[in-house]
Amino acid sequence: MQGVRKNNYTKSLAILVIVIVLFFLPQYGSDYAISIGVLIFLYISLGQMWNLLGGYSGLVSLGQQIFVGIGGYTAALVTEVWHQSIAVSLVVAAGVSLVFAFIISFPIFKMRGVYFTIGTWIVSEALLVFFRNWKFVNYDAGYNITIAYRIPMSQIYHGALVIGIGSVVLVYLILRSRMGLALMSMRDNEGAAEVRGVRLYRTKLYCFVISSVYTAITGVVLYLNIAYIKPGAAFGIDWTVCMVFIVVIGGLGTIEGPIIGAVVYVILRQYLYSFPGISMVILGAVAVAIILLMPKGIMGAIHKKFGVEVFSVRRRIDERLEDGS
Amino acid sequence: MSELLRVEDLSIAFGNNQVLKGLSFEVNENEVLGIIGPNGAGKTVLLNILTGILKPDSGRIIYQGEDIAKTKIVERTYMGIGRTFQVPRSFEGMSVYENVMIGGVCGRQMTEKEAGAGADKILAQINMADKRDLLAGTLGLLDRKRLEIGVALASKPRLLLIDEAAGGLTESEVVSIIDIVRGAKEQGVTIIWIEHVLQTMIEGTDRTLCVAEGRNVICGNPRDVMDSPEVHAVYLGTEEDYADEGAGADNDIAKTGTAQALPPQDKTLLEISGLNVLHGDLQAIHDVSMRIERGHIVSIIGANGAGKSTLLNTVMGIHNPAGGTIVFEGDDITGKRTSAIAEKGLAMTPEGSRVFADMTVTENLLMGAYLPAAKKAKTEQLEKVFEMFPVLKEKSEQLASFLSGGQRQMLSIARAIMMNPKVVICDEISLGLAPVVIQDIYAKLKELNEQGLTFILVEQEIKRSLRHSDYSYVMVKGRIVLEGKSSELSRSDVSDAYFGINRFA
Ligand SMILES: Nc1ncnc2c1ncn2[C@@H]1O[C@H](COP(=O)(O)OP(=O)(O)OP(=O)(O)O)[C@@H](O)[C@H]1O
Ligand SMILES: [Mg+2]
Repeated sequence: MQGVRKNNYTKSLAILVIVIVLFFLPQYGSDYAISIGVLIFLYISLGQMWNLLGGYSGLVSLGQQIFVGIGGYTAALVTEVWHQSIAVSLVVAAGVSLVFAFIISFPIFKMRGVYFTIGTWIVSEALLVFFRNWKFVNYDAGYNITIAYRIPMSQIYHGALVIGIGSVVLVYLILRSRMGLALMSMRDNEGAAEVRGVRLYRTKLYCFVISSVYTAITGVVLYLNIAYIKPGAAFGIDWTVCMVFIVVIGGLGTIEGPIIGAVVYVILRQYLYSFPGISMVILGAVAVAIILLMPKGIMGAIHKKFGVEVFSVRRRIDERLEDGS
Repeated sequence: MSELLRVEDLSIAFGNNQVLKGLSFEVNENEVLGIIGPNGAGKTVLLNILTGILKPDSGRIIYQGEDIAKTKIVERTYMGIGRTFQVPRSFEGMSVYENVMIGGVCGRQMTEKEAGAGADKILAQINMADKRDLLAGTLGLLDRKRLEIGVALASKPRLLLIDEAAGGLTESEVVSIIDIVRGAKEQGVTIIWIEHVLQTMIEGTDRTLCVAEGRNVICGNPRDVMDSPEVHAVYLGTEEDYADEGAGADNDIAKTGTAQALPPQDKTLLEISGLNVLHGDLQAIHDVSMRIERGHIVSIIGANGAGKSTLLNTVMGIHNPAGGTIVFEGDDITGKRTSAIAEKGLAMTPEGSRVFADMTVTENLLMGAYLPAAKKAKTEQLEKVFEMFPVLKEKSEQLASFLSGGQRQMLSIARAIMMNPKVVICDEISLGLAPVVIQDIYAKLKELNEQGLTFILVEQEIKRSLRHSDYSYVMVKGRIVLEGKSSELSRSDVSDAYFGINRFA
């Protein structure tokens, strides 16, 4: 038990050191390193949020780009049209996505399994068409988000860092809460979870709303980084495809999975820019290879081989001793 | 005594399979009601109706004086109805401890602290405290079954529904399950207990209900029920395994086998010598040697955890031995791939009746006949197994996931026979089967054996093993401690050999 506690202590210290190193990266890192960092943090967040749905709640959504788009458009409208600050756009994005997630949950939660998946995708396609024909958002022309040119890159970097770390902390806290037990049991066996007293509908709804709101907030920073928004890209299924890629290769239903997945994805994408035509093919091949070699993703393989979990959500004796009970 | 649950005139059909036809019974507060009945009688379906997973076509369920027809699954859990699943549904990615916590946290809205303290008590109660931090997915079938009881108890049920907890256990383990149920009763829980292990019904229940063909056949004092001619007709058959008679009387039934007619060099079909198997650092099999003769039925007897399944899995090439050889028909098959071993003519029915749930019964059977040798004789074999298990013919086009527990077990035996093997290895062949079906299966095995098929059987029931085999091995903690002609071993020799050493704590 001493050993476990000491191990936990070392682990926390290591995480703290990594966070500090990352925080000060803009002081010594190259612009390229900073921009890669931004992407990794934001994709970690996207991955964590999709994992909450696909990895834990059994909700395989192909429509999370809805919320990336809502976040991006909110940033554009709030800063470009209404000349408000980024902080305001974060708050508005959270509010709009909250309401929107609630509203669409009624029809799409009526659908099960693959119908849910298709349902979420149809909603996002509908939204895409709607935005293209909506004068309020400047039709298909979209916006330049000019505020992005006026803020220093290090600010975007720190925003992304906070969002990335925040997503990990959020999922960790959810899993350590009472809802976490329910979520893990749903991941393992939904039917049995219901018999044991898990309210499936309610738990799924909470997850869907939390995931959607956080995805929208991530979308704000994503588009501050891109600085230009159009309906086709904002509501493109590519966003969700990459979330799925990240989670599946990293490890479905684990906290570490999306982190590893995001790192692999972003770095791979950088190399693949030199092969524009076939980059998707290569990404697909990588995904297939990893699924074949490591059915539970990279994290699953590591866990099986070495038994390590960085963010352990297990309930064990030693922890309760520490609680003093 | 006041009534806790009343079931009135319950009926349900799946397509044209009318499973329950007006079943009625009641359970009193703090009573243990046992339910027996043939495989496919609708016992599990009844529990699924009581917990809200299935909707009955007609009939009423009155719980605590209230009709709960419209009550949702979770609400029924909150009202105090807890259950175990016959085919365990543990949460595989969670530890044993977390599995038990779910019961308290989700079923009873406890805080994690309360549920955690409760979970530790329950783990001690079900004898799993040492497995506390293991992932449930790594547990064996019997541990998972026990865990099911723990999870159900954790939600502090008022009415506990148990769907077969004692199948495949040795006698002393059965006693420990009876104790767990008694303990729950003492805490005021009312229990409905489905089981094919008759000892549990006689010793552990206040009343026993026999269900057959969708109706209540008889209900009353367990012994009277077991003795009634109706129950003998539909469920027990003629064999009296549950009565405590001496083993000596059976010796004349023991067969001598067909091996004598063959020249001696062909007599040995499978020879295991000096086998050692490690599970990580743990030695599961110590220096085991066995000789299986052609045309024999050989039984391997031993407590759970004695290493029987490991031994058989090693023979089938699923585990690699650390030392020793396995020779089949003169060829060394040690460490060969499972498919190569199967091709040579060894077939095994896996423990826990694993079937391909999303395939039909026929497809499952044809999967057994994928080997070239078996493919030729496919239709013939199919007829043979359908004759052996008429239920499977009836359900040939249905998905295997809709079979009852016992029917799945039959399917997995039938699938092994479909391979047209030389040896069939049966791990826990009678687990979850109604007594009358067990007799039937043994009769069929004997028939196949007379046609020259060799069998290796793993059985918990000592008497049944001795009666139906030519030669027996007794295993304790990975070693063979006793072997001999089954007709020359007595039941007490065997139980002395292993209960003496490996008492279930
Ligand atoms: N969902 C379903 N769809 C179709 N048929 C079903 C379904 N569930 C059960 N059945 C059928 O209903 C019958 C009763 O099944 P049940 O599982 O209740 O049997 P059981 O009495 O528990 O038997 P056992 O002792 O073998 O476990 C079986 O013939 C089974 O094939
Ligand atoms: Mg059953």
